Amino acid sequence: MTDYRQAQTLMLYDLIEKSNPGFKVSYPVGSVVFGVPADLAINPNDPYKNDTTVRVTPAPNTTGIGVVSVNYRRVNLATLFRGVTPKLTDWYISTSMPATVWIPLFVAKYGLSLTAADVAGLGGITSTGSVNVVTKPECLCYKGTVNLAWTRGVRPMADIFTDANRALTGRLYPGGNDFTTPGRKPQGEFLAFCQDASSIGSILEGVSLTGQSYAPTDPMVIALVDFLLANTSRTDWAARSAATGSGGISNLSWFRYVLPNAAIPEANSAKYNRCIVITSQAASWFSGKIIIHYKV
Amino acid sequence: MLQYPSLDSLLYYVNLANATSYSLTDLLVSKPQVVEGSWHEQVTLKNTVVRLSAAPGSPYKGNKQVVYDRLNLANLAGLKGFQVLAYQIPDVHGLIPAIANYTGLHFSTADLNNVPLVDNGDGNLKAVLTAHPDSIAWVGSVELIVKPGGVPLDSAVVEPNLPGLNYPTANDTDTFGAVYLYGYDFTTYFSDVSMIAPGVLSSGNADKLVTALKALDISSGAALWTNTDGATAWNLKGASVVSNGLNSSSLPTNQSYKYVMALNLAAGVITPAGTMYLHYNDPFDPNAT
Repeated sequence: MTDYRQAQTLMLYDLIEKSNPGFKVSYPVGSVVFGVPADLAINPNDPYKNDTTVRVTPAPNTTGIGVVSVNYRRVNLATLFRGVTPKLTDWYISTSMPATVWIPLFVAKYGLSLTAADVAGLGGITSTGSVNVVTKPECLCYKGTVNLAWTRGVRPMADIFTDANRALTGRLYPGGNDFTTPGRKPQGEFLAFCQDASSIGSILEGVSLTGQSYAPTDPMVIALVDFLLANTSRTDWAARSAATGSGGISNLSWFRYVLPNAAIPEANSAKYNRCIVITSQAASWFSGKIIIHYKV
Repeated sequence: MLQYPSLDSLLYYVNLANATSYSLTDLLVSKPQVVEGSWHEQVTLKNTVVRLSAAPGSPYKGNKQVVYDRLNLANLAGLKGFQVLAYQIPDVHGLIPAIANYTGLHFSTADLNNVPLVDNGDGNLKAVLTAHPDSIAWVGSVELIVKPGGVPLDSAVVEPNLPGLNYPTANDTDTFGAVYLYGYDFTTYFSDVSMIAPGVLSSGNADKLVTALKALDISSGAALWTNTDGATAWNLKGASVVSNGLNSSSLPTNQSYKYVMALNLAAGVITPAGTMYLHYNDPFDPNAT
């Protein structure tokens, strides 16, 4: 049985070697050039039913000499695929798959060695459609036509995950994973996350939903400082500007969120339906966001 | 015409010098003799004498001696572009056709001593061409480097009528089993397919394969697969598993799959024809990392 998976020149090389043992020794693969095959009238007495002849010459810059023509039979796609319905079910980004895509998929699925240079027309296939695969007359080992259908398949996961190392980046603690950096500021996310400020929830409900800075004298600032002093281990919470000293939480943007909220996924909690987010600035004594949860 | 075979070359110059048209059948040529400086008390610059005799049956009689030059093989080494390529030639006489191909010099086996070619140590062979003392046209000796290559294509391909390309079975009108199932993936049926051992299919296993085939097949046999007595097409009754296991590049199979089962339908079941290959991989394990 012919190995249709081989490159067509190799198929013909093997065929010549089969009848002419030693041919590959005198003419290693690549040392001859096959011309354009021509149709040959089948001799009824020919047991091989050869229908093609091709001229064989030495490749340029090789040591071979002379010329010879060999007769053989090209594989007719219609005969090879008798009874078979060739069909692709691969995903493609568009509903029209170009020949540069379907030809490699077709030859891989059905074990052939056709290339774009062997196929006439090079039309695309529309999803749920089909195309006639028509071999060119100059195709070395194939001839004839077969119809190829395509039903657009689902997108493979591998097509989406395109990073060669399949590595996900950015999964870090707030502020990064290097806690040894000299001068690293306290991370706001860890300062009060676990505290339940529901006792002052009615006061915190006055915080803007769209972000606002509050002065040290604002009752909401004072109430929150008192709450934090009473409920956290930190002792320097103060109603002063965050830029003037450690523990200050005023003069920063305060946001109020109704939870759950996609805008602040790190604050979402099954226990609470509100939070206040105080966002640091460059001059602040802390980094990131202080998140105060409460329930109303 | 020094390229001619030795006797033809000598005859050419005889006819040229005498405006004659002798042919090889008209003359007999003696063994050549060396002459130096003079011959029959006449000064000569030629190096060889032969006696030409009328051949029996020719329209001539008598004989004549002629002097001429046999050429020294050593001078070949000085000819620019002189090279000989050949593959697997054992000796000097075997090299004669290649020398003719590459230089046009038609030596005969009578012209050259036959000695083996020797390895030159650089991938080439070395040939020592030494003129036989009785050579009509040549004297002396020369060493030639014979590079590999240069087999005339019509020598390498003596049988131009090639037995192929072929289809998977001998009958061109078959539906070929090897092609029919090439594109199908039986991984979904791993637990059924992988457990089937070589040998004739049990009825239960045939039923399992029929189920799998009916589910996957979209071609002409899609609805026709069966496991019944007597059906001559699409019938797994009595089919034999030739092999079932790891795929191999030596098989005419789809190398996208790790495993393959080779299945021959029972004698008398003619469609699909030939060996069918059912390809499958390990089943997907969503917890494997």
